[in-house]
Amino acid sequence: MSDSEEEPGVQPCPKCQAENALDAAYCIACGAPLAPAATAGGGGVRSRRRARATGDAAEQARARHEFARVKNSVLAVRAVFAASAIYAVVQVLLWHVVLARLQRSVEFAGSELDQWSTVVSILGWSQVALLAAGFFFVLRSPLIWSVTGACYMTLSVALALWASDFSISVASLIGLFTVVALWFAVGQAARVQRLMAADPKLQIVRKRIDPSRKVVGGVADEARERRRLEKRRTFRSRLRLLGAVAVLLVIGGVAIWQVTKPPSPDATIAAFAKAWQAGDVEALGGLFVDGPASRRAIGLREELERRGWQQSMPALTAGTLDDRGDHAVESYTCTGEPLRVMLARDKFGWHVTGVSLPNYEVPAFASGLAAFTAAWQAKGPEALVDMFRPTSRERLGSALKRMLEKRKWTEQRPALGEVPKGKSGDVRQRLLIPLEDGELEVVFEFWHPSWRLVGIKLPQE
Amino acid sequence: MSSYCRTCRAELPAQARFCGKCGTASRSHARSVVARGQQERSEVLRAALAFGWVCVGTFVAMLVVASFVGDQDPWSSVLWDAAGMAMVGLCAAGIRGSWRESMPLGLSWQWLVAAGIGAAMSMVFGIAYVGVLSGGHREPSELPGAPVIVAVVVLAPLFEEWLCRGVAWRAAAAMANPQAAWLLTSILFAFLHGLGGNYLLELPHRAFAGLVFGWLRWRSGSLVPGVVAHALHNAAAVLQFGG
Repeated sequence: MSDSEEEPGVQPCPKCQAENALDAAYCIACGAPLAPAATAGGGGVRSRRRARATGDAAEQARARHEFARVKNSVLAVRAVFAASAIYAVVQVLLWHVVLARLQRSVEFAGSELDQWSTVVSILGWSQVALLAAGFFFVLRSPLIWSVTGACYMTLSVALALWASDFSISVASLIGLFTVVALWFAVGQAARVQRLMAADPKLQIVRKRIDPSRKVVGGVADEARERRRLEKRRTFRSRLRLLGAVAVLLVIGGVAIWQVTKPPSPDATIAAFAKAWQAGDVEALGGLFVDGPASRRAIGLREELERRGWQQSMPALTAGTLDDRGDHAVESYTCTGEPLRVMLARDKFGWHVTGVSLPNYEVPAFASGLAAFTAAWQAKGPEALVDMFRPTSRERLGSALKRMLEKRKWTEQRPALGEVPKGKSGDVRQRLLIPLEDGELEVVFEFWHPSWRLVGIKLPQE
Repeated sequence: MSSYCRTCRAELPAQARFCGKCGTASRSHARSVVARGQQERSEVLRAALAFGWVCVGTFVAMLVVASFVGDQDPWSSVLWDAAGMAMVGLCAAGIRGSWRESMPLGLSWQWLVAAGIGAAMSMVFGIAYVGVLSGGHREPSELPGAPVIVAVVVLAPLFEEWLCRGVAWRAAAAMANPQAAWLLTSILFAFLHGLGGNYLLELPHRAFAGLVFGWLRWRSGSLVPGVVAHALHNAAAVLQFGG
């Protein structure tokens, strides 16, 4: 018996020739299925064909598993090639259009433009050819074409950055990202190429199954259908949840908007119009932010009194509102002139900040001057005191009487010199009237219906 | 000590890798297969990282030097370029093994002769290609200055051969095989020269030169023939075309 003969009770593996038990179905060394003893002789030819894939069953299974995971990176590189080729074609065509237009202008000489056209053609179409070749051949030689694509993209991005003085734009960021992704894909492509070299059955592109070999029905199809229905159920439930969330958000948003919506100035404007029509000066003053005792409210009262409107005010036409967010202006027409009400909003609401009353015509000052001259020449101080405004008559009148008593001018006063005429149109007149020994300073204001004395300064003793 | 199959619970003989009944790999063998696969994947990814760094790092170094040094001082530009490429190469070489392993320096006179022949072939191809591109019209050029001659004839062959046929070659061979390394380094060599201003027009004759120098590196197992061929090629180019 020769050494090469099999030992009784063992069978050799057709792939690795390791000894296995007679009842074994798989080789314990490499995991290959063991052929039956009757066909062991013929299994030699079959085992030579199977031996093309290197490694044992576990390594082949691991290789298939890893190949299924990483082959998509090569498909992604192919997509990048396709997109870059299309972009390059568009670029080249645009350049040709630009050069054709330039040819019609007088800026370039003919031969120089022809050179540019030739260079653009060669560069552009060679780019397109390189990228198209990458698209077609990357599935056969993933590593070489991935490296080519990565080098090409790195060079293009480097040149683009250099030309733009390293300014970062969206295009340059996309280019940098593509460069990083392509160099990452080079590692995956190297892995794919090694796996394909180790097992020729591994192919990147899945071939269509021959219809005669296709198995319809069975547990795989049932599982696939089950997964499909489950995915649809999940999708619908998520869609419903999303819809509910969207409705809640809309309702909540509307509610918040309503609650936080700033109040409109309409109420304050209506209150102003009502108080104006009723002639209620106190109510008008109450619309100011600091109330009827505020400086602005007092100023409005005085302006109304000056015009003689303190009891009743002329009618207002329909107002127009100019809303400027936190400020507003309501414009009316009163006695043919514009009347504007300025409003402002604070945390307590809208308030009146100012009222611009219409202009009025000031009567001639001569009447007031004549009245003062007559009062100065009259006996006693009563005529002069009567020239003060009723609201300040008592205070200013008593002060004047004291000053006149002090100078013994109560009954008779020195004669006035040449009285100045004053400036026509001014609502306030300040006059310096010469006396025998000094000057008399008097201030008049027009308070409807007459000129009133608001200040008097006797000459120094 | 025998163990049991994790699928069918059949008894496994000692040192068995697979179950004889169901073909399931034993636990220890499955673990070793996974570990080996992870190690291979790690080596390939590191090799790809080193290869990619040679490309990207070289571009970055050249652009940085050109931006900050420019044309003010030719010697500074030459030295900074050399320093930049040295940094790139050392980093890339350090990613996979030691930098010393990236510089095989064996030498024999047969390969020096082959280097001369290779330089002549690449030069002839280059002249023919440039002639076709320029339509046969070429303006006479004068010799460049000393910095350019040192950079082109001495430093460029040294650094480019070390980067492409030393560091990148080792990485590419780890990714695939020596034949693939020959092609990949030629592609890298061609694209690295595109930054000179002529973009993809540099590819054909640079790729041919890369194939010639790469073949010398592959068959000789040393960088020296490639460096000599590259230096001769560049010297002839300087004489023919100027700076």
